[in-house]
Amino acid sequence: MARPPFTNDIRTLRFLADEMTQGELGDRVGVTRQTIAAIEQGKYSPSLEVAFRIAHVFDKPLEVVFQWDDASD
Amino acid sequence: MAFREKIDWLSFAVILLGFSAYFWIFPYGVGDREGMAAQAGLLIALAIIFTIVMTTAATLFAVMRPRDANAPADERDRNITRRASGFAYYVLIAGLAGCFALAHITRDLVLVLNAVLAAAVVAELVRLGLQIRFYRTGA
Repeated sequence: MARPPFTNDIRTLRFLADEMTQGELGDRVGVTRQTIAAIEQGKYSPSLEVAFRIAHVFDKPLEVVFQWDDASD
Repeated sequence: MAFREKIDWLSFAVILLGFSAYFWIFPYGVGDREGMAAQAGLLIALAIIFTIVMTTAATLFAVMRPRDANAPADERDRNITRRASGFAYYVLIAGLAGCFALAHITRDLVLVLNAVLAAAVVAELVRLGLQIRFYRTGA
């Protein structure tokens, strides 16, 4: 399975948000804990809607949560 | 492990074991009438066993992790189901094409019906196996 051409800082942002758990983030975004874990590990590319929902939970712009990986170009 | 993944593992194991037993003990070559009666009897027995095992296991899983069991399928679940089903569809079509060819070279109706059943079982095992793999690898 090819990894997505971007990285993310969800783990760090969860830690900074009072150590929010993957399950809590999943509940707020509307996906399962396993999906959050897969996104965090770069094993799953979320839809644009889920990406925006995650950014919205942390009150951050999308590009702060997800960063394009230049090495993948 | 997610509730859906557990159910996929269990379904895979039950179908594999159940239909391996079915095809192993089936009385081949007994004639159309007796063969179809045996087929119906074995399939009814399998359906009852599947229903009991899956209902019991799903209830147990749901009692242990009710939150997981009640969670609706999210986009990743749907994506995994769609990809696995798409691949299994081609397996089913290939299997049915084989059954069509078999029907032209034998007059054994029960054998052809069992081949159709085998094609469906293999396609379902491929679907479940791919879903398990996709859950394991992330997507």
